[in-house]
Amino acid sequence: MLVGGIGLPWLRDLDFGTQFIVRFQHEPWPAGVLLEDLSYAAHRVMHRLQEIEPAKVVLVGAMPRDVDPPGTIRRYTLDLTPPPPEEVHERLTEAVGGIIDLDHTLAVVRHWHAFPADTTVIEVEPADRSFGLGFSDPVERAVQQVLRLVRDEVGATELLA
Amino acid sequence: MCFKNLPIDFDGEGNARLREGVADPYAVTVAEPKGYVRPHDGPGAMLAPPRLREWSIDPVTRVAGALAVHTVLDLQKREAVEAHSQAMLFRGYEVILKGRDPRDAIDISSRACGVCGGVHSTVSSLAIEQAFGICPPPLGVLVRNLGEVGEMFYDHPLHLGLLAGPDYSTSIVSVTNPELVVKAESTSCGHADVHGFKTMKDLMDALNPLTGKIYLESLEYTRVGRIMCMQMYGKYPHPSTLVPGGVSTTISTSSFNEYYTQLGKIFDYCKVMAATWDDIAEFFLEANPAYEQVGARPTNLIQTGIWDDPEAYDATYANCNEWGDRRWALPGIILDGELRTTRLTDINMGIEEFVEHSYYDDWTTNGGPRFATDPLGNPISPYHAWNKETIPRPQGKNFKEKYSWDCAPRWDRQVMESGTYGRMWTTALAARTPDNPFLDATGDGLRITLPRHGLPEMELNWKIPNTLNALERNRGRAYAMAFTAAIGMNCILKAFEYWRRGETAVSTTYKVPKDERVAVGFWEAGRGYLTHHLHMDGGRIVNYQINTPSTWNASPRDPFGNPGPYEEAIVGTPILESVSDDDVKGIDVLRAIRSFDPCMPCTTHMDTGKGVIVREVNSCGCTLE
Repeated sequence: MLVGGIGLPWLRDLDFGTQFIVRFQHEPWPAGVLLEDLSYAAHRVMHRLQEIEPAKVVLVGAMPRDVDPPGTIRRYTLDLTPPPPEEVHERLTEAVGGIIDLDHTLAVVRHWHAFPADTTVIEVEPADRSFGLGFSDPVERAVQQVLRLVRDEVGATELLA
Repeated sequence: MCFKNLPIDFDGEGNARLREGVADPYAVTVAEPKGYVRPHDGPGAMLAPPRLREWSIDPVTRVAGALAVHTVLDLQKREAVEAHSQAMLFRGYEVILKGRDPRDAIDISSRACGVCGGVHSTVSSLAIEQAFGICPPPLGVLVRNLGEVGEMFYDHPLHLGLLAGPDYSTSIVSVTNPELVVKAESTSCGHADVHGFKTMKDLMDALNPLTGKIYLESLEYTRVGRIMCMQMYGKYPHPSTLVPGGVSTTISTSSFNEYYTQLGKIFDYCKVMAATWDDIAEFFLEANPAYEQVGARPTNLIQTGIWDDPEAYDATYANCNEWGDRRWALPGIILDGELRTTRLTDINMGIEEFVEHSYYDDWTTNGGPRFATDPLGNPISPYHAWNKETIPRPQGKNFKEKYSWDCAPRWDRQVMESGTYGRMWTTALAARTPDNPFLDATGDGLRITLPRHGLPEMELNWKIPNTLNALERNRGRAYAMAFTAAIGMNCILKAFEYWRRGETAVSTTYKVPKDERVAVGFWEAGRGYLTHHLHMDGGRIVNYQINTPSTWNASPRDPFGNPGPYEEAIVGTPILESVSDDDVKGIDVLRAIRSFDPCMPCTTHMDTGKGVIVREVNSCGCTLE
C-alpha cells in the first residue's frame, strides 16, 4: 500500500501533502505500507506507480476547491474513469513542464490505468496559500484527523497514539 | 573585436579595459519601444485599413499560465506584425536567498525549475565551490556530467514528443492545412529505414497526442532519463546529493553499469528522433518554403557551455576561460552567425539586465555599483548580475511602459537567444572537441557516431542551418539528443577509467569562508544558458542572481526599444494556414513560440498585493525573477 503526499513546497497549506509525509513517515506503520512524497510531475508519479504496483493508494494533499471552509477534509474513493483525452493531453503537457498538481496526477494516471482499483484521495481545503512554512490554524487542526483517516485506510487504526 | 556597443577594449595581452575618454561608459539612452505602427496615413489607409486581428494567447497553452503572448495578425498580408511576450508570475528566489547559508541555494534554487532541477543544483554547486575555493575530484566532475546527460534525456524527449511534436501531427495539421495531410499520404519518408514510418502521414499520425507512437515512446523515454539521473544523483527530480565540491551519492560499479545499460537504450531513440525531425523539416519546407520564416530571427546566440573535462576544470574564475574551452559543449557568443568568442570572461563581462519594461525598479538609481570589475579586473556594468538588486514593483501595466515579470538580459546590448541547438552551434563553429571516437566538430556542423544497439551503428551529421527558425530549433534539439548521448558515452568511459585506477572519490571537504567572496556558476539547462551569480560575506549570501535561458528568450523590450527573442521570432512569422480568416488558429505563431521550448511555469509567490493568490503552481519558473 502506498500513501503518497502531493504538496507545493514553501506554500504553507498547499504543502500539506509533502509535510504530512515528512511529519509521519517515521511513525509506526503496518508492514507493507510505504509513505512517499509524490510532489512531482504527474507522469513521473505514473512511472513510480507502474514500478511498485501498489494494491492500494491513498493520496493526501491540500486542494483549493473554494466550496468548503478552510480546514475541511474531503475523503473520496477515486472514480477511475479517466477524463476526456483532450483534458488529459492539456494536463500532461503542463505536467511535463514541471507543474505539480493533484488534479493533473489524477487525470494522467487514470488515463494510463496506473492506479489500483482501491484508490482514495484525502484532501484538505487550504486557508493560507502564501509563501512560507507551517500550516494555518484551521489546517493544522485538521492534521490529526487526516492521520486517523489515513490509518483507517491502511488498516492501522489500532496504531494511533 | 569582441564588443561593438559597450566601450570595452583589449590590450595586447588580451586584458579588457574600458575605453578611455568615455564619460559614462554604461549610460542608457531610453528609446521608444519598436513595434508595429498601424497605418493611418496615405492614400486609402482609412478606406481600406489592414485586416488586423489582435490575439492574446493567455496563457500560452502548455506553459501553465506563466507565459502570455499578445500578437497582432495582419490577415491581409497573412503574417504576424506585432508581439509582446509577458511573463506573468513573480518568483522571487533572489529575495528568498538573501541572508541564507550559501549551501541552501543548491536545494532552494533547484525548485526554480520542475523540469530541470538538477541543472540549478549543479550550477549553484559550481558557484559555491568557486566561492569556497574548492574543486571536486575528477570522478565527481564526471558523475555530475553523467547526471546532466540523464537530465537532458528527460528534457528533450518531452519537448519533441509531447510539446512540439503535436504541432506537426495529423490531428493538428488536418485542421489548419488539410492539403498537407493529403500530400503526406503520398509522400514517402526519406528515413523510413531508421524510424519505420513509410509515409509522412504515418509519421504525422505517430505525433498525435496521447495515441501516437512517437508521443508515447517519448513519454516512456523520460523515464529512462530519470533513471539515469537517479543512478548518479540517488534521487530525481530535485536531487539532494549535489554539493559544493562534487556529489554525495554513494557510487558503485553497478551505478555505472546500470547507467550504461540505460544509455544504450537511448542510442536507438536518438537515431530515430534525428531521422524523424529531418523528415518533418524536409516535408514542410518542400511543401511550402515559407515555413523557413516561421519563428525566424537573426542568429544571435549566447551559451555558457556544459559538461566539464575533469582534467581541466578547477572551479576557479581565474581559469574559467581555460576550463570553459575544454567543455564538451562550448560556451560562446554568436552574432549574425559568426562565432565572436568562446571565453567565459567575455560572456560574463558583456551581460547586463534591464528592467525598463519589467515589473521591477531600476537598482542603479540607488547609488554606485557594488563592483566595477570582475575578480580579474575586467570591467562590468552597473546592470551586471553581480550588481543587480531584485526590487519587484508591478506598475505601469501597458506595453509602452511595463508588461512582464521577466527582465531584459542583453549581451553587448544585443538581443540574444539561447538553446540546446546553440551549444551545438558554438561547438560546431569552434570546430573543437576533445579527442574521442563519438563526436567531431567540423566547423560547419557536428558528426556524431552512435554505437549499435537494436539499430546498427550510425553516423549522424547535423549541419548548421542557414536560418534560425522553428523547424531548425526542433531539428537541432533532435540532434542534440545524439550529441548528448555521444558525450555521455565519452564521460562514462572516462568514469570507468578513473574507477579502474581506484580514483573513486567524488567529493571533497570544505569550510564555509567568512570573508567576502564573489563567484559565478556557468552551466546550461536543457534550453541553454544558465548562470548563478553569488556574492557572500560573513558566511551568508549578500546577493544571489539566477539567469536562465528563458529569461533571455522570453524577455520584453529593452530600454533601447528592441524586442526580445520570442517577440522577434513572432513578428514576420507568416500565417500559412490554408483556411479562411475566421478559422485561422495561429498554429504558426504557436510553432514559433514552442520551438524555443518555453519553460516558465513557476512556483509560487504570485501575490496581487492583497495576499490573494490567483493560481498556485509549482515549479518550473525558468524565466521568472
